[in-house]
Amino acid sequence: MRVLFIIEPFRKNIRYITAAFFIILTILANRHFFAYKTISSESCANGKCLAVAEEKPSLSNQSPIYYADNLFQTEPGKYYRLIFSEKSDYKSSIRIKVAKSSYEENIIKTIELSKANNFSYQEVFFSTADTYSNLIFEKTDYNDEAKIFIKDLHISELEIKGEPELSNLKPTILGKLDTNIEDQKQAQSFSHQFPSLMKTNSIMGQIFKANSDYISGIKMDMDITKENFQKPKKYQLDFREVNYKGDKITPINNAIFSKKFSTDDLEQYRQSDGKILFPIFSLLKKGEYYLISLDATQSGSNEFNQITLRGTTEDKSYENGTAFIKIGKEYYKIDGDLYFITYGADFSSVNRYKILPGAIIEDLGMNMGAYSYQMKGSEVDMLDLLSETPNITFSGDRDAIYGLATSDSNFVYLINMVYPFKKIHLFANQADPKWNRAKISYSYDNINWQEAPFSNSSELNSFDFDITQKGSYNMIYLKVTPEISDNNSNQKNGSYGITDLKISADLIIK
Amino acid sequence: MKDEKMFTLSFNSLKLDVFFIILSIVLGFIFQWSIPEIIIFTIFIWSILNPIDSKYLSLAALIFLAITPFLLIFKQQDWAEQSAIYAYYFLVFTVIMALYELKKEDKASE
Repeated sequence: MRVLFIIEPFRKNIRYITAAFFIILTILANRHFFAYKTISSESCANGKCLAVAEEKPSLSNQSPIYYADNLFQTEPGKYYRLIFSEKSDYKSSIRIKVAKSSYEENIIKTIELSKANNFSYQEVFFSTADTYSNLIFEKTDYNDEAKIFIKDLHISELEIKGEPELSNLKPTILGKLDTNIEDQKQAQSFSHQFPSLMKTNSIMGQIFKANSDYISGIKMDMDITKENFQKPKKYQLDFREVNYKGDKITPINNAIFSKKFSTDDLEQYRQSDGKILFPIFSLLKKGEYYLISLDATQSGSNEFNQITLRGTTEDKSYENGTAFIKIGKEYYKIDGDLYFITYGADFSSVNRYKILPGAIIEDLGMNMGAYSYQMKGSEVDMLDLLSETPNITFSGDRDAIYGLATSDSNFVYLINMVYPFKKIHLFANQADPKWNRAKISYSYDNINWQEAPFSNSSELNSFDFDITQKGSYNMIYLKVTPEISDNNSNQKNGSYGITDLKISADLIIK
Repeated sequence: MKDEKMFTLSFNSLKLDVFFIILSIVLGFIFQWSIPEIIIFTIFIWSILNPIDSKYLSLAALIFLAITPFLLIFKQQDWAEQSAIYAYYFLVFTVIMALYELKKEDKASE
């Protein structure tokens, strides 16, 4: 009876079937509606959308002991300096111990840690009466809630004979880098949504005038609309130098930085204020114009899968640049500015010259010192350069700084060791054996260059050489250039680069 | 007995009509349509279930067409565009209904 109640009207009247057909058609046409969501900076403010892939702490209440094995070998009666960086999310204290493989331990210091968002360096001097090879970091209170991060462990043997000499040692100089420095910005207004990126599948971005020598990131505001169960759309971020005069926009050279990303990848750049911070590390020319752009031409974005950039239609919000759109090959100025903040970088410096980030310059006693630096293998290595020709960039696949192998291409490091050196040891690998070989030259004045030899012990054309001096110089320039051979036409237009750069030096400290 | 069966069928048909109308309105709200869009969609579904005389539909189309130039005169560009779209919807309904009525008349004359 009940079945009849439903079927009978349909059988009797085609109208119900027609109505049902149109309703089903409407639902199908709007099926995206059930599966898409728009993520805005407002909905992600106060850290609501921060990526959950948290770094595992070295010490926590679940694992209150951190082992660093086979880091060194102490000799009885000798003095050592331990340097490490730490951060803790609560006030806490840790014991540092030296240990043997036989689990025999000896406390060398207890350190109080304060709550901090950024890493800070700790320096500990110690001497042992026996031979130890392991380090142990241990929470004094196993139950305290603090999550403690420990990294960049560095141990050096001192040349002093007794504890009173410790006070005569010159303070250790550490190369520090601060990237939390705002430079250019249009952050007062971000209520306007620029739909152009999706509507025309175009390239859209913002031009700004650099007022700093470095860039370490650009923060932008955008609404991300994406559909569940759909492959995320791909976009491209480009950062490049540009000529900007009147309304005419002309790019210069290739992109300084370029990265492909999907809407899912963007969440790793999400900040606690809900905005997106793209890490871009590069040298800048003060007073020159640069553009940051999002390329949606290959994205196939639609109403339910798109990025909408936020900003303002007030053209004077940012005086030294403009929002723009690129359609085809032409750039067009748009009235208004995107929301953006560029971040610069600040370095430790001595005698007006920067100390390379991560470098350690230490007094070992007895007029001896040591310098050590190594590439970090990340994009931040670009900030360590003194100068670069266009098209030099970082390769994340090879952890290398590289460029196109043209005759005028090079990048230069300035190694400021503060104290005169007796000997420098330099090690570096070629970024890719299939590329043009990279050559390293060194100079004391950035004018007269001497070419460094390739390592004899390796067929990979790496560098492993010493530069000896009588202690006349405390700085040295290193220039990396491509080897261009006319005999090998296949490699003439290749790339070149170096990776794993490590520099150590014996210093004279009087 | 026959009358009772007819009444049951007619009552069930009414229930089904109401179900379709409610479903149309609910869908409109789910898809976040505007109120006029929900009304037009509901009228469309209703006109399938219970044909509305094409003269009423054409009247609605004419009203929307007539107010469009006034909205333009008063610089209500967005409203004018919407009004023109609604007029077009009703014109389509009118044509469909007119065709249906012609077919019905043909059947009746036969």
